[in-house]
Amino acid sequence: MNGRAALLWSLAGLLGAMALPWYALQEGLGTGAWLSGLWSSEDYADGVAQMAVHGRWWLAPVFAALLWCLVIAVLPLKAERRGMLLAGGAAAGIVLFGLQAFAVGLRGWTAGWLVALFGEMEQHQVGIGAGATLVLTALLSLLAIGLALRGAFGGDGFVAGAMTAVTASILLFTAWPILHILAQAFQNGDGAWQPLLAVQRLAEAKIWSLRCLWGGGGCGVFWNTLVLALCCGIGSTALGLAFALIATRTDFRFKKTLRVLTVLPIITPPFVIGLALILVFGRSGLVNQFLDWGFGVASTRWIYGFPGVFLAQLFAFTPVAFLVLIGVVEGVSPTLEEASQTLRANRWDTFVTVSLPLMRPGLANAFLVGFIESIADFGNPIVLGGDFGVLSTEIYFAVVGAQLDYGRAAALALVLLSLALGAFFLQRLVVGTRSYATISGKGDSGLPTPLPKAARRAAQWVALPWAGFTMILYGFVFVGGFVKIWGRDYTPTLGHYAKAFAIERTPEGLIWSGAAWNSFWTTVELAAIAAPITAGLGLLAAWLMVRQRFAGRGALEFATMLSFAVPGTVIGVAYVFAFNVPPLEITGTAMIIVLCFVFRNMTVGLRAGMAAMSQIDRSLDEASATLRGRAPQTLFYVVMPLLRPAIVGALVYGFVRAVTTVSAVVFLVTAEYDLATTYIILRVINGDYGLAIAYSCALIVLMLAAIVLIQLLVGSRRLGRRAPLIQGVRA
Amino acid sequence: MAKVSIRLSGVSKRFDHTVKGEVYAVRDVTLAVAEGELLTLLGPSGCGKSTTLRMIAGFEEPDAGTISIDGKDVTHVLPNRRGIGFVFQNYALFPHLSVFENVAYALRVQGKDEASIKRDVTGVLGLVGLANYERQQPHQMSGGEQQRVALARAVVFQPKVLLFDEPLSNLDAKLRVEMREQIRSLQKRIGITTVYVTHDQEEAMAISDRIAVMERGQIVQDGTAPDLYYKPKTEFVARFIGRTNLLDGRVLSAGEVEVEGQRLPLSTGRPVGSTVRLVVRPEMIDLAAANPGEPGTGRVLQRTFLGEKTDYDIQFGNTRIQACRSDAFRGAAFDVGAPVRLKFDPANIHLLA
Repeated sequence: MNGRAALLWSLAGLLGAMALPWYALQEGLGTGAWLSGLWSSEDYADGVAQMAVHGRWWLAPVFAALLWCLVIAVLPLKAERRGMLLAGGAAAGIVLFGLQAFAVGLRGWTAGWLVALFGEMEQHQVGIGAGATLVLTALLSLLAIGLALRGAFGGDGFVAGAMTAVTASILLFTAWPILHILAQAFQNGDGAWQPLLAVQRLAEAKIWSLRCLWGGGGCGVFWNTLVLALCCGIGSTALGLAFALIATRTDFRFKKTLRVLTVLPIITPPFVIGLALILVFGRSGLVNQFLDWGFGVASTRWIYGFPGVFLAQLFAFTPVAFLVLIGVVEGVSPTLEEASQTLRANRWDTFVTVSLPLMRPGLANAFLVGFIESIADFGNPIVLGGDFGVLSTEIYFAVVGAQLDYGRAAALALVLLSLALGAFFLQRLVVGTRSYATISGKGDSGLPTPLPKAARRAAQWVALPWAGFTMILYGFVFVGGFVKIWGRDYTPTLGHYAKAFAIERTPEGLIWSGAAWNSFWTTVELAAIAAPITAGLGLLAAWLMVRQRFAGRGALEFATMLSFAVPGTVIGVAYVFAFNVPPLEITGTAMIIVLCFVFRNMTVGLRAGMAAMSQIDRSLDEASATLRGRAPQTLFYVVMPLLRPAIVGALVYGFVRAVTTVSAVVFLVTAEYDLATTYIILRVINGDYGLAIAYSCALIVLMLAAIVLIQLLVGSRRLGRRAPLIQGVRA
Repeated sequence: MAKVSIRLSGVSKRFDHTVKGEVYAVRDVTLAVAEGELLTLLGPSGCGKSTTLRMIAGFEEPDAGTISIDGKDVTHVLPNRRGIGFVFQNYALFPHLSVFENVAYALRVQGKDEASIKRDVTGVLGLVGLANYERQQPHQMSGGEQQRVALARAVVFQPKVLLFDEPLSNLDAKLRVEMREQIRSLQKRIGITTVYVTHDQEEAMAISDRIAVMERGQIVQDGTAPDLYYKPKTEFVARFIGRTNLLDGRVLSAGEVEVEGQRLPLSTGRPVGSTVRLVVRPEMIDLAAANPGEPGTGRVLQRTFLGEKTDYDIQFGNTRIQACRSDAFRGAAFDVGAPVRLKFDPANIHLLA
């Protein structure tokens, strides 16, 4: 590698500084109006003009760094030396870029001591635009090239570039917003530091009150959230285990059907179950109506509150636990159970002393998933919670409600985040990285031991009615969209669908007059943009972590795992706070929603990619390397074709999660960019169930279609056999 | 000596071991492989032979020392720029590509034109006896065939050196012999410098120009197969290459050593009264019938008939001796419990340092 890549990036950076508007434009780049004002207009000017004509001298050092890189790229230097000078210059440029971006804001200097140091400033700057973004990208690339020239990352420019891109984007769009929100809890409305305020906010009775224990009033939202999450975690794990045992260890005839359950929560917006529960148990729900009609019992509101939210979450998250545990139960080596039986243990002893302990890490995992899903859930509490507030809804009301108290929202987010991370660390502490699941390339010839009778009975008595009930709930959701007014008028109608999805044929052409079209197309568009980016970034990060060795790998992996545990509500609030001021001023745009989708869901692509990649024998990569394949060639010709299932998974997940997510985006949507889920939630809150149900069903159909489409596009892995462990093929 | 093709000087590699802390996988290895030579790294598992090979390939970077190929320092060069062919233990064939595409891989990433790719791949597949196998998928082939595809793939782009990492350990015994002959003849034919790693001493002796025996990360001896067999430098080499008897003797005089009560004419150059270790291979001990109680005799503990020869376990003084002999021209075998006289030929006794 020589100086050519460095030269190209230096030129690209200078292009960004001289040919594109430095700051963000209200109307975007598309209009082309900026072309004429590139030098003279203060809004449209490029970076150099901003510095030279419009008095923004603080940009000068950044351009100096770029010029330095250009000079280094051109000079005839030894690779090592060029690398060192390049990396140094680029790093300095990045630091200078960051300093000026944070030091000068919308109203000049952003901090008092800067004013004291430099005097009052008349200039100001808004969020960075195309030019500044290109300059920053160029500087990051130059840093990567410099490091690679110095011999870092095995001297491979591609790896260095990918590494820099992944690290920078994770820092910018995950670490920075979360740190920002933590800081926000300690600031007052004007951004001044007031640590005592944080204490005050955190100590609030509304969070910690225990009055419900001795009567009089409700408990604090923290206790509500914690108790709900514990119940949900334990409940869904127990039910999930029952399902998993039935599906793998009994001769139950409808095992295949049972597995359908695992797909449902993936393609369902999380609040749909809540909606279904209202249809059955709500004030005008079937049960209450029946009791009223048959026995004259007045309808009650018991479903609104803890019982309703708990039930809804249990229905919604049990399939997730099932999904986690089915792998675990299958992973328990039958040979171990057979060994136990040869040692004269009967089935029950074997189950209790061998099988269950082997599943322990999996059980802990399932519990953690249930716990975290519960505290992160926003849709069900807002639909069914009533007076029963939890942290996620409380944060929502602090931001969008009449309170409009950002500091309080930040403090609540801090509590929620601690809860999630606490559970995460506790799980790691208890389970560690131990895994007893024994899946290896070697065939395990034993047969799974059938469940002992008592356990089988118990599992069936619990699980099967539950499965049936889940099906019924989904059935009601489906039917609910086709009746006039649930509870009052069961006349079949297509009215709700017409209202949501009407298309009128007029002389001017088709008019998408349905109320839902706007948010529907926005959702589809943004999710379709986000899904490939999510999958690509996640899998690239996975490849780096599994296949490349570099300093700080562990830290990066830990950081991404951590962001997996951060509840969506926290992410949403954090994005609003971090990105509504310069230098990155993107609140209210479609971009922030896409970014939120990408970095919220990337971890799953990452985990799936890491799991899939660690099953591909490393010697295949090494073979490609000895056959003169460079790192990117190895990635595209060898790793990617073998990763097709993981790619499909990441794409599907990236799309589906983007469509179904509520908690994170509820803060980010605007009238212009409204999303399907937030639209539905508002319909539900307004009691417009028919439309909400019709829309939810349409979403489920959309996602099934998307899954099929992605499957067709990417195709399946072309392997002659299905090998659990992909190795360089053996006989 | 011919031109040196691969040179390792003072190469070391450390690993972090969870229990033992930092351990040396390879320690201060210096080695030169001549052009066209086939050198085998031989040793038990964990001796560092594979790590050494992987450092030559560039999969691992040494913590100290330098590696050069054809006079060019490649210590910090990526594997794809070293010009090496590597044959993996598990073949590492790309499961999603056909035989043709597997072999063509290196040519494709180099951007060769379709016609020359076709020519080269067809040629090399013919060379390994797999003409007409182009369209097969790797998983449809037997282990031996897969190994030959891997071999073809490793040589098709005319690398400077060829590296083998226990290439035959997944094959059954008969195929192993067949394949190693094929590898050897192909290597001779194209005259490529080769480093071959194995733990099987018989394989090493059959295939190599030269063998370097490794123990605990270090090369303890290198030389031709007869060198190692007849003149092992250490007990470890003596035990690892072939079967061996290690006897302790006492120097009686300048030309005489006493072993288990037997006086042997052997000039050791050691001071009188000192003890020496002697290496005697089982086939170099002559057995003869003896009377019970006769001095200098042993007793047969076990007899194993192996067809071409018979192995004997003999209690000889305080040591157990392995001896073997071909019964074809020597009459009856010795029974278990029978006394036998052991005759050592001083010319075939090797003295350990």
